[in-house]
Amino acid sequence: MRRLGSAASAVILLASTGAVAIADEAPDPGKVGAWSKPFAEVAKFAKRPPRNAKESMAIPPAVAMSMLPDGRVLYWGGLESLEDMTYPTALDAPRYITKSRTRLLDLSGSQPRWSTPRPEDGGAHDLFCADQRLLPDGRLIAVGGTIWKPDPVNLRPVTGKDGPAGTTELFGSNAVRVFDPATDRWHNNRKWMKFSRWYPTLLTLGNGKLFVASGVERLIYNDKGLNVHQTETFDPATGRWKNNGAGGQTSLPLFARLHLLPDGNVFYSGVGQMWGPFGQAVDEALWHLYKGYDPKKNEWTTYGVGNYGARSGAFSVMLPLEPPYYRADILVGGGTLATSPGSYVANNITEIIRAVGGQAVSMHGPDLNNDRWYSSGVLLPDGNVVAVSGATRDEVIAPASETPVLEAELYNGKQWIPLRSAARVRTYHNSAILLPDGSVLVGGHSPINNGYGAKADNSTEPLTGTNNFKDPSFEILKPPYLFRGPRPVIDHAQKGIAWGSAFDVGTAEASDVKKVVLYRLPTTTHITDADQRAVNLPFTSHEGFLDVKAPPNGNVAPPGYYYLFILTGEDRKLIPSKARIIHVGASEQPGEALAPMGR
Amino acid sequence: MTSSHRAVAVLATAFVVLGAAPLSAHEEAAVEALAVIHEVRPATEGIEVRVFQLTAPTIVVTNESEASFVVFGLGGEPFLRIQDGTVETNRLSPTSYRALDPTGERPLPGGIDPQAPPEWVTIARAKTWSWFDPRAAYSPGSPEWSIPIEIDGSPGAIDGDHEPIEGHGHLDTRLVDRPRIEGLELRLLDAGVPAVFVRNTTGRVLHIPGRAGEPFLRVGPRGVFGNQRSPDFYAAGGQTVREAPAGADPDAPPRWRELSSQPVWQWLEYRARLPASAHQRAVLGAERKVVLRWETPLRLGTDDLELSGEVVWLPPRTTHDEHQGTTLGSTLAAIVGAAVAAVLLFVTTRRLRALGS
Repeated sequence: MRRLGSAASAVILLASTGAVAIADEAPDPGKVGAWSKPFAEVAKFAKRPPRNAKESMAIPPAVAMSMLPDGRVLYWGGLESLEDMTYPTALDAPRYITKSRTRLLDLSGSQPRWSTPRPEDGGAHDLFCADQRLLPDGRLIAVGGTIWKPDPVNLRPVTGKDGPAGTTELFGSNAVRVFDPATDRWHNNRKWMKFSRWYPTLLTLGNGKLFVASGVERLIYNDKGLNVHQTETFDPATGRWKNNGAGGQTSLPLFARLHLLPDGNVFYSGVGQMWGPFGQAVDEALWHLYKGYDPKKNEWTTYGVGNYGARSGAFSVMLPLEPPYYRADILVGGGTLATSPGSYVANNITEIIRAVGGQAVSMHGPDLNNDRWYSSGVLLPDGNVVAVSGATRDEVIAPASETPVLEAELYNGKQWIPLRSAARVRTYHNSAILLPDGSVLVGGHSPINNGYGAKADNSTEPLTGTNNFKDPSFEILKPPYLFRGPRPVIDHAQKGIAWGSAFDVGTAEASDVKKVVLYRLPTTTHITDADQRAVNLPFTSHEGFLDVKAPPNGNVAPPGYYYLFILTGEDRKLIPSKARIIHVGASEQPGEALAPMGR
Repeated sequence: MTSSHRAVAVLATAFVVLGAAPLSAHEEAAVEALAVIHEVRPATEGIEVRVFQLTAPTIVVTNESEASFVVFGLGGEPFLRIQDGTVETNRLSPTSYRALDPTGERPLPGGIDPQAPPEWVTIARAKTWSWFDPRAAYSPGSPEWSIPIEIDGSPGAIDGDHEPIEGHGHLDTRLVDRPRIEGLELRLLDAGVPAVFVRNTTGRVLHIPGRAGEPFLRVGPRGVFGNQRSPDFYAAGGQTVREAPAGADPDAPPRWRELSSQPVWQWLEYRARLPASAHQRAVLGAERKVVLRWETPLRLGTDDLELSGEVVWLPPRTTHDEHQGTTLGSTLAAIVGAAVAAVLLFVTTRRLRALGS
């Protein structure tokens, strides 16, 4: 009825203002950016989103996206086939859900091209709600995920032969799969995690090992009332996992936002998905804290408490690390405040958390222009951040009640500037990554189609404007810096650089270069990329080339693949080159670095 | 009256009816109204009942007592039983199915018979269970709800109410007094079980006792140390929560273990926690009031200090505040609908007269 009231108000408003067509002056893309048209694996979904359950299930949306060292994007879906159930979601998901399908997207040519890895579903359990990172050698590892089972396990005496067997339960998976871009195949890692994890966070440590934390063994009927406290460390050299024992244990929310600080410690920024077993975890008060894990001491310490405490569904972006690399600033924005059952309503509050010397303090940041729950925050090579997609309410609590946020915004270090709006609704399970050409690939949208109850709830909600079907399309946001004039060109960069070394970058614009930036290849899902980082490198300019100092160690730049950008222009109006993809690690690699989207 | 006229009249009437019914759409009611528990009868130590709002209200029961906890279904038949760490459901009760279906829209299977003696089937080995209960769903005009139960053979009920989500009643856990000493930072973190954050850079050791008064934590220049003999070391420890081992004994001499090399820590402060039974609206009442005062005695070096706080009940803003807009919208829609209906009726009547029927 409130909706009817709102609709009536809208009618009155329209009537009072009159149907005046205001000429839309072409906005300056140098100020507000620009968007590509949507594109999709199936052409008709480039023109419009799926309209019915069958179309919605046709191809996967990008719930998770990763940039591979060869410049292709690996992505997969989530909540697949949720549209096609006989009984309500809360009952019937295990019978109907299908495993997430994976895809490869190649944007190097004039037209996007898709291919399908083998096996298409990654091989073990459902990749939905796994976390993924690139290994130092460029393969991709995906850990955890979902095992859908009815629980209690057998209610057939109650529900009948053809009825569901019990209430939907989401069990964590301990599966570990590895994708090899050289063969486009998924492999099962010989050793899986010791603990099952749904919604874990995976992060690369300075020594190239991978650290996994949090997740939950089973989400709903979880008598422990706790997420997984144990952490584990994976050694890519042996393929084995190590339980970090009592010292490594801590309480974290699901998909805890973790960042590797330049001192080698793992930092939790007070952000995650704050719901838990039976709705609330016993110890969720501890999620308000900033914490750090020292891998050498195998010890967690408390860094402080933020101004707003725990935040759910917010983005957490580490801003570029600056020489001499002793501190990190992390931009946190949007989401909802407090632990469960906190607010369901999104906010526009941002904070900058400064972590240094085992302590962290929160500083107020400028307000976003929109209340944003579940927006993707993407760091740009110039140090600015864009926020895209998301919604005005926590859609997990109340599916279909949210209003989508289409407007993109850009944080320029001082304020959030509204950018042009996307064409498509992308609320729950959206994703976004930086591309080598400096633009932002935006995709995903996989809502809880049926709420938790009714089937046939699939529709475009006329009053909130949200889309209850999936959207498998992509759009590309071109930030304002792509419209500021000629871009610098990297004429030469070597394939791999060693920590602490000096290396050359060839460019005709050497004297104009203001920044040289390493940017870890992005790997995101559930608006979380624990490896996300950019490192500004010291350099000196010479005729035709730059003499650049590599990061000092793996804590500043963990081993693996990075974009290399150079930027020219004025201080607050920098212009990035297209990136080369280079390897950073213990040793140099000769040869010319890949220019995946041209020079 | 032609069929098209009938259709228009029906539509207009429907518009009036729909327009006049506040929060009639089930999903909107679920989103805007929050189910709360008024009282659980009979009150029993070890039994906690909570209600969570998902799309449909979900009742969560933890039975740590030795008593049996039986829930009766929509037809008065027993449908759920929790006792001795086992959850059973009556397979002949229709409510056993409805409890799994938040919409209540699916057909029931054959063979059920609520009148027959219950046939219990074990569905879980657990002390906690939850179910969707349509009786707790918001219903315009009758915000109260009740679910009959039986605890150890004594009849009772879970009585509930509804409050608007925005402005619903809630408990505010806050500090009242804390030591004002340079270098000693104490902050309260509000949640189901609140926590206390401490940073102690005074150069002296801060001693925090457990709930039984035993040594629990030391936070000082050498870092943080916890007494492994204290049960709170496990229940409130600060990094993880687990069951205390058999050797935990608050009366035993402390056995200290280093928890951190930094003078910064946190612990779950159960002294500041209001038990779920005290969250019942019948206990909390209609007025703002302090429902719990708590104290944590501290010692800094040789000085006794006190950290104290309270839990304040902030009753819901009158539900009329929340629903005024709704009612206004409903009334407006009803007036518009009535006007449309009246015009249509007038036009139809004139046409019928003109046609001589």
